Amino acid sequence: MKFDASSVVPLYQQIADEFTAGILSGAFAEDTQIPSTTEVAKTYAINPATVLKGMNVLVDLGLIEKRRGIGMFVVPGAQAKIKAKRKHDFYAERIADLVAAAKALDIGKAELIAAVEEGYGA
Amino acid sequence: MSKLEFKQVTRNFGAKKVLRGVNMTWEAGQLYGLLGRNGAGKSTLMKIVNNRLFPTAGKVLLDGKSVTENGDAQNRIFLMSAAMLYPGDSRIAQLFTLTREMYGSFDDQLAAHLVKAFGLDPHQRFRKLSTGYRTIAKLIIALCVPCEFVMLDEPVLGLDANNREIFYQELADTFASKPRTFIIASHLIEEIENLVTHVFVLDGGTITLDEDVADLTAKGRVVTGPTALVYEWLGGTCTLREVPLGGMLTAYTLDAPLEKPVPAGVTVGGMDLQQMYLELTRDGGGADDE
Amino acid sequence: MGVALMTSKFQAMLKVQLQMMSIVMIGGLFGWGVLVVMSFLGDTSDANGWSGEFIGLYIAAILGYFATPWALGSAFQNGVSRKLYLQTAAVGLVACSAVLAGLVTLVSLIPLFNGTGSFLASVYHLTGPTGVLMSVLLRLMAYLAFSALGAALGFLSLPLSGKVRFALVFGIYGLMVLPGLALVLIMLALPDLATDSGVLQFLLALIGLPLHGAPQPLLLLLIFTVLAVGFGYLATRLGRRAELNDRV
Repeated sequence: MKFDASSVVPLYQQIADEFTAGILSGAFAEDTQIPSTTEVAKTYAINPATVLKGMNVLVDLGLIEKRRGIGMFVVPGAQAKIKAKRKHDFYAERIADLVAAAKALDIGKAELIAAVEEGYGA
Repeated sequence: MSKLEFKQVTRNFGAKKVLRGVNMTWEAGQLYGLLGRNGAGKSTLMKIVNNRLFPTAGKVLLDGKSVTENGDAQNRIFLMSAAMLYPGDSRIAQLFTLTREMYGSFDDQLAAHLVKAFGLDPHQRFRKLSTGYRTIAKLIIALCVPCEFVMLDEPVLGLDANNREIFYQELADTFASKPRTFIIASHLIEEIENLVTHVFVLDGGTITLDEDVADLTAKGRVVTGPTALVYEWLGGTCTLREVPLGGMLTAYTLDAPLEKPVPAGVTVGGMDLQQMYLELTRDGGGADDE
Repeated sequence: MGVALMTSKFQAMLKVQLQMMSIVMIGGLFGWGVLVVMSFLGDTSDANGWSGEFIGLYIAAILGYFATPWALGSAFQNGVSRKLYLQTAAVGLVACSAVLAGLVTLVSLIPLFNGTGSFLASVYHLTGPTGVLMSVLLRLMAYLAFSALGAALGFLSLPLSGKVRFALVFGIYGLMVLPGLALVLIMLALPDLATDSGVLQFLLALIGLPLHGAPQPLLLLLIFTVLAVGFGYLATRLGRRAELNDRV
């Protein structure tokens, strides 16, 4: 994990993002325990309150859950949930950005589709 | 919950006015950064809290009672500073014992862990240690005292990069498992900016900034672009500093109008605590006393 | 002090005070021991006897001047209030003065070391159990007065640099011992001076030196008691305002 203090993304969100990426990549497998707030705080010398805030983002998204007396676990189905969310974001943001950028460069619809097909072919 | 309040704390050294009415509050269970240029009076302020110096005027109150010459309050306050105040001939283990006798208890388990983590020989005499290891010995004591308010004045003085990292990690660890208030005065801001959640800037003898780090980074921005466009986007927003370069302008602000769309050609970047502090205190700086 | 005595902080601070004082005591007693041995080996003279008394006073003064402010650093580092610190310093100084007074008097009772510590007893004709008790009391009050004066000077000189403060140690020694030795030498060379000079006679009478008159140990005890209380008050006043600087 890597954190950038001068980023416009708040530190707690960066922590949430890193854990999300970890769950998506399978580094944190479903139904397994993830490192505790204290462990993360210690490893990266980050204020535990900030780490907790980042973890709570994931709890609110239903990606991790607290099991009393044990710790935080990745919720079964979290990976699919993240993928669905990313897919939604992809269509909502990336495609819109792509089309806007293409339009600004006078790239037509057919031209863009052809380029996408070429990208898949390569 | 306990709290330490500063009420118009003033301190003169002869004709020199180092503190000119400091007001702030330290809450329980927080990790604070106290920032300021050399000679800004950070050490003086901490020494007043620890009863080493008297305030010329004003008061520091712990739960409403003055901490000055207050034995009960001082039992709950600790200051780790550069001054070498321990008997130099004492061995490190003896200093641990002395601290336990003074404060009633001492976290032996943590001390044993830290001694190992830093590779400190507890049978060595304090005087014989290098600058770095003297700091380490003092840090270990500071992390193991049962005090609710622990002030760390230049806690990494003489420490190499590895030992600094160990210290920051161990601080985060002990803070997580046993919350108490730490106040760190350090010039190595980038090293503590993820650790502290609230900062105070002491400049010109008063507190000029008293903010949550999250709030600062949420709206603190570096705006770069053609001068007219930058001004247009900023509107009437207050800036810390503006650096013109030809037709381009770089502006530092703590209150960026993020709700407005950014015009093409203007880039808005984040500002870390170090940068923010630099812009805030650029013209300040204190006298020579620290 | 009653309640404070029970606290662990009081005990811990007292321990630190005694640690610092023991360093001065051991060093001072070594010098005094040399004098005692010298008196055993060689001639016993008045000058030797006076030196023995003066070393005792000097140790007391340095206990106040050096060892007492020395412990201030540990007090500040451990959140000890000045009030508690001064209480432990007072207890420490009383304890050291008592030990010193007992030791000097004890050695004076050993005929072998006659002339070292027995000077006080012989000039004041302090004999028998009452005499011994009076010797102990006189020394105790004298040491207390000197250590309180030393402590007051110690607090007063805190803002000075370490070197200057250290130089003052020899200054104090010079101030204390040289006039005493000079007085003894003058009296040895000119035995009739005291009878001839009205002023000197008055001065000697004032400190109770009974060269040509009745012994006045009670007056001397009174003077030392007044000095001990006065200097003690002064030291406390200055100590209550002591602050941390780089010299502590």
